Amino acid sequence: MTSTLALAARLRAMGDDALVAALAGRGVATTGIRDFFDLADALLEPDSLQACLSRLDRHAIAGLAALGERAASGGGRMSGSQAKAALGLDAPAVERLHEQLLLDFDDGGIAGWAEVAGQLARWPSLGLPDPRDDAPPPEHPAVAAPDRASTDHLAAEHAFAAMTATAELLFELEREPARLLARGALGQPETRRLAHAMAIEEPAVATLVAAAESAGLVRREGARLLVAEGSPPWLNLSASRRWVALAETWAISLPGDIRSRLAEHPDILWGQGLRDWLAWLYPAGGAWLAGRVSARLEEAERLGITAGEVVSTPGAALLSGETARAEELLAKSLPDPVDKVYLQHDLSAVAPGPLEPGIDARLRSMAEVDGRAIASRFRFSAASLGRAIAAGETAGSLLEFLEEVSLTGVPQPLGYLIGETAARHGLLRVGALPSGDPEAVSYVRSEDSALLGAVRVDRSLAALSLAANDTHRLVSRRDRSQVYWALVDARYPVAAEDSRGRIVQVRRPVSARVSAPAPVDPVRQLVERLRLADAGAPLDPGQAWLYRQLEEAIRSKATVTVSVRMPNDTVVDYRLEPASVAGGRLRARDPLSEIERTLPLSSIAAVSPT
Amino acid sequence: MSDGPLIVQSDRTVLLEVAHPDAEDARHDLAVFAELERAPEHIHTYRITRLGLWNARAAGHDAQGMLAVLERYSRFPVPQSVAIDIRESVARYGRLVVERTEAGELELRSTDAAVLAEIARAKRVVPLLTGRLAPDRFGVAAWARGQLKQELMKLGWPAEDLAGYTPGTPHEIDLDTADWHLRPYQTQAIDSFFAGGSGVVVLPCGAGKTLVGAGAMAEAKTTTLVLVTNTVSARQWRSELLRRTSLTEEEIGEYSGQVKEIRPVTIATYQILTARRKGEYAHLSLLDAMDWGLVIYDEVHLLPAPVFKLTAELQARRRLGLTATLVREDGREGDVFSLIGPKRFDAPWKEIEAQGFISPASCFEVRIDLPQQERLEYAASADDERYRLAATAPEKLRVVRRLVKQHEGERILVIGQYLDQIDQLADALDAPKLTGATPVDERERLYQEFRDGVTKVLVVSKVANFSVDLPEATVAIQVSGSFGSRQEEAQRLGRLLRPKESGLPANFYTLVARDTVDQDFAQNRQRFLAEQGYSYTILDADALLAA
Repeated sequence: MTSTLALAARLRAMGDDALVAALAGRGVATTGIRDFFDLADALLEPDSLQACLSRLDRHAIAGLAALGERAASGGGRMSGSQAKAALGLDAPAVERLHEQLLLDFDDGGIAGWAEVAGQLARWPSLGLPDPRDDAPPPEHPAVAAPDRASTDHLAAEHAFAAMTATAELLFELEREPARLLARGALGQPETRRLAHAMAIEEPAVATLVAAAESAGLVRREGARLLVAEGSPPWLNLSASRRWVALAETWAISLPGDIRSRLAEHPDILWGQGLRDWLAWLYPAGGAWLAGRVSARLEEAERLGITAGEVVSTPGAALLSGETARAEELLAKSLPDPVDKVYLQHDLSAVAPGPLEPGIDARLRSMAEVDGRAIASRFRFSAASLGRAIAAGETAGSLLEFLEEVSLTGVPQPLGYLIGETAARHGLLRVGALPSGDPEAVSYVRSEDSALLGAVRVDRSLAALSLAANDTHRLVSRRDRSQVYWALVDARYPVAAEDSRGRIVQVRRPVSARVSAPAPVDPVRQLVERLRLADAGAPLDPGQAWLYRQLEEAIRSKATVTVSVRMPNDTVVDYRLEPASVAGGRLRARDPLSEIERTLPLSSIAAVSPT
Repeated sequence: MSDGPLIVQSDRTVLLEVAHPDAEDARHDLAVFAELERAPEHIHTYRITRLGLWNARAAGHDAQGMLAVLERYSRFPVPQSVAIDIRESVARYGRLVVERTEAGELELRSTDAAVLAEIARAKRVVPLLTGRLAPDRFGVAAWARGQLKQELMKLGWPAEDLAGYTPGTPHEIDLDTADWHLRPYQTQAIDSFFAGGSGVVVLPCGAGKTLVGAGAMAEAKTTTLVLVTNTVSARQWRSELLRRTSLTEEEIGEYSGQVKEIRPVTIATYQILTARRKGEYAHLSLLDAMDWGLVIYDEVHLLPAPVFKLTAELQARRRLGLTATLVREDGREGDVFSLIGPKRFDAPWKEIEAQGFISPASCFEVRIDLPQQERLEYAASADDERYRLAATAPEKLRVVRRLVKQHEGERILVIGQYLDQIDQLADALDAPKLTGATPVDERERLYQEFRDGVTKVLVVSKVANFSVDLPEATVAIQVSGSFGSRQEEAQRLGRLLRPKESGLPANFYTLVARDTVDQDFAQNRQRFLAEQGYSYTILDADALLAA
């Protein structure tokens, strides 16, 4: 019971964000909880504790068992140094367990929950090992004379593929953010879209998106997945540096002991051996552990940290924290970048190797990516060149760049296309009109009245409801973006302009994606509900809290410290066993003096667990 | 890591850097097991497919050899996923063998018990088997040889067919080589075909596929059924066989809509074979009318779907497929593999062109501005009308006249899709026209006059596209065409690829109305032609007319 009181007090005192994070980590059910006492009870229930304990390693479990038993037997708090010396719980471990709401920790020291000890005591009856069982770790089988070169070759292949796919992910999200489901995951259509853009299979999308998110390359905003600020700098890095940025966050996210074990044993097979060792380390891990290990192994393979479940040389360096060496080692296994391309009559550009990031970015601005592996292929079209021209390129700048990077000059059809696109670009201008008239939201203007005449009668543009405004201008009830893209699709030489007549780029409107509602976080909703309940009680919040604490103590026949304000304003603490609250008074037994005390509630300054 | 001409990619494509000193050697070795997808001037793209690997395996190549080729010429390490895929795919061919028992019954044999168990459980295979003959073999229904191979192919276990062929009724056929001889690659194609049993020979238009057929007949010396796309083509086969072999008019029959002759060498059209009367294929008896020892499929990429079904029943006869491309618009390449047979010979267009046997063609796209009134009319039209308006723009006529004048003296084909337009063109150019309505005899006459040089300009509809040999055409002007089909494009270009005695270069013009759907189709055309390796130049009609 004192656990409930103490935990409820702590939950109430926590900031909203910390509380949401802690509850999300514990996976607490969000229904049927009226106040912080209910929440504390829910967190101390056997099922909830078991779910959390099963994800702890055996060192933490043994420490919690000892702390819980100490609490159950009325033992006092332990200092941090005592916990480390006696239980092997160092400060970070204590902090993690505290964040998981599995122990109490404040300036007065560390205390466990009796309920935790009680749950752990039931383990043998649940078929789980005794938490105090000190079984030695299993031997990790070494790889029989690993073919290092082959492993490194395959891992480099995976690393390169992961980087290429991640870059495509960023370009695709830049073009159009991805919509997220309410639970924060990508839905099937978005996964399919990203898989297509990344040229990978659908099941691999989540892994690489997670890696990109960990590395700060993508971020969530409401119901959308977007590129993050870290994306452009990452795209400008060398291939090996890109890999380090991606893989390093993966390595850092591993529990320290696992990371160091893997780093110390580069010759071990990560498959069954690692599973056995982790099963020992996480004695109640079960299906959760198996799923996590499989996911992590897959991530490691996909990122090129391992190949065939053997860690690569750069991967081992990374796990040891030697990032510079890891980068250097990987660079040796990756193809050298190229800075030239072949331009062909079919309007394609082929880079015979991985392109320098700067050239890759410039080519992307004027051509569509048509295939991406070690070599990449781009395809020019009037639309892609029009986009580049709208972004500020000219026929001259495009040709100059292409002549510079081409191994074989600029083929006539491409030169023709550039010349024609540039010459005709912007013959039609689309702009927004000041708000007010719903029939004239945007305009289309041109000096070429014949061209404007064709636009006006064009049946494919009927939905724009274009009406003549004067000889050189039409107006539409549709907005600038809709008009612009309709004209682009109908192959008119159009450019969008701002109110000063400067050419601007207009994104294609994305149907329904942007307006998708933000996902609802049930845990945050719970916290908001608890705060409201706390503030909306008939008594003032402080009194209500005291009242609820005393009720809880009465229910569980617990001893609590009751701080009573005396008439001279001093505060005296009594250790009491509350029996009832009625008529504005607390009746409680004082076990020390073996008398019954009756105290006016108005005099009680605080109640705290003993 | 070598500095080779190949880049092998994890998506199973292989890029070939044409200018590399080792490019020719690499191409030669790579073409054995990878399909050429695109061949623009600098970087060619090949694709490694299961079918390509099985074709190579059927020709006696093994995975180790194929990987050795990739490793020898690859600039970067060969992706392991590709290496694994090649090993696994190649290992699938030949695990199952169709052969005959001593008693002459068909059986399916495999030394791999797991594979045999897998296929014996497959729903669509079970009805084709007659029972287990031994732990490693099943009996096969006599009628199911083709169907079984089709089903096994779909399951990813292509069977090797060693069940042999009926020799057919012997018939003396010799090549009459008094004033000509087979080119080396044609001889090689015939030898490869016979070494392999049945299968497909891939040669570009103009490379003499008919002569490969004639050579195969002379080798087989047996009654032969030749299946072709249309009657005109049937007549060309007939005249070619008469000219190149010892066969006489009495020995060659035509089985078409017009004539129904069955002779030791019978040339039939796909159309007649697939013609139905009261829901039944009415001319199937042709297939058993003679004891054919050889069946030749011309333009096998156009083989209609019902003929596959018929072919499944012809598995005891030796089959030769002839084509310019294994790519089928309907994606039934696997059926060609299992029913006609694996690819037995393939020569890339450009390679044969380089040997001087087919003439190079230059491609030009002429962009024509629509006058204001037509532009307005086009804009105001519904989608289904727009293509016709763009394709038949009257402005195109001026350009055609200009091009005809520019190539005066040469033999020029003007190609259109719409009959009105063809009429206008024929009138304006004072040239004969040839459409679907032209009787076969009339067509024959017009073609002959064109070949003889009596007619210099011929206006044709798309009926002229397939299998018509017009070797002296050096210029083709495509005024309109049906929606940029790749197959049609290949055929049209094929008209110009025949060897030219005149020594004139071939030119292929397409006329395109600017900023219309015409231009979209032209884009596909440009891509296809450039991918085939032809130079492509875009011209403005105004500049052309002013020149």
